[in-house]
Amino acid sequence: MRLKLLILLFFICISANSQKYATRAGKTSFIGSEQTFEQIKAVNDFSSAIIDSSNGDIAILLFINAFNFEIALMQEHFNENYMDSSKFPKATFTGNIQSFKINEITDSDQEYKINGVLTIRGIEKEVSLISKIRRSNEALLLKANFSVLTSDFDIKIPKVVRNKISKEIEIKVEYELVEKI
Amino acid sequence: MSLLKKYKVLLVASVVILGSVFIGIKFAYKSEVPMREKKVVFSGNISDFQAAKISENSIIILSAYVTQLNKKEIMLGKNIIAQYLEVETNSFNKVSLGDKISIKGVYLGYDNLFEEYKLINCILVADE
Repeated sequence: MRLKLLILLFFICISANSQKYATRAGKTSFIGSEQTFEQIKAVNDFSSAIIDSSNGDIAILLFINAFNFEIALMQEHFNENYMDSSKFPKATFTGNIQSFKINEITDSDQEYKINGVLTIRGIEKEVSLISKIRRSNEALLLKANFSVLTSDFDIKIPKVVRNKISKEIEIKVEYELVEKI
Repeated sequence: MSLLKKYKVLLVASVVILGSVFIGIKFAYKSEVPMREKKVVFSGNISDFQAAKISENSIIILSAYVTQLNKKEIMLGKNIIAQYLEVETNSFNKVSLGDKISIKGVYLGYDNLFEEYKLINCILVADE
């Protein structure tokens, strides 16, 4: 996984003529429960993302421990019992935005398919999602909603809370990427 | 069992149940230990920090010069990016480029994309 990310980064870096758009403060959030008494939801607003505008390659990296919950105990359980964030501190995504052409991006949302590999807890899973991309001044705004199965990443949910935690986690990303000089 | 005794048992049981619920709720909703009170694993400058190979999610104090000021983030040296708590905005607004400061926060890990070390929940602390 790390090697793949490094190889992708290498190619993003050596394409000297290409523009790169980046953010280190992207917002990634998830909802992991049904509408229960206390909904399991968290936000990470310190996610890194880079898009190579010459070919649409995209790389995202976030730290699991940067997910912020409203309830401290929920955050503790999330990191220690479910995500094992001391052993697997990062989640990454490397992929490609299909048919991406920077000069075709306008100030209204356009749909783009993104294919890539999502790595959580060291387990890789191919994912395909629909994103909305638009331009806002000099920045690119990327939004996407997709869901993943906890079982795909070997996230074990104890029986006692099985009816409170969804098997399918809804993930939402909102990134404002600016041109990287 | 007399009626009075039944009421007494019922009263004790109610108190025990209500007490347990209260303790349970208090435990579940306990607030996080404030950053200022958290135990520090490392304290020092950037070169000592990089040499020390601190494990992820550790609480550290770093003393270094400010090289970049962004919204909710501050950069120290060449490759330490620290995100501070919303409540600390006023304190960080007083910081200027080139100032030498000490911050306490959670070391998240190394970001391969930006080639930076990331810290969150940072607060300003007095120089060590």
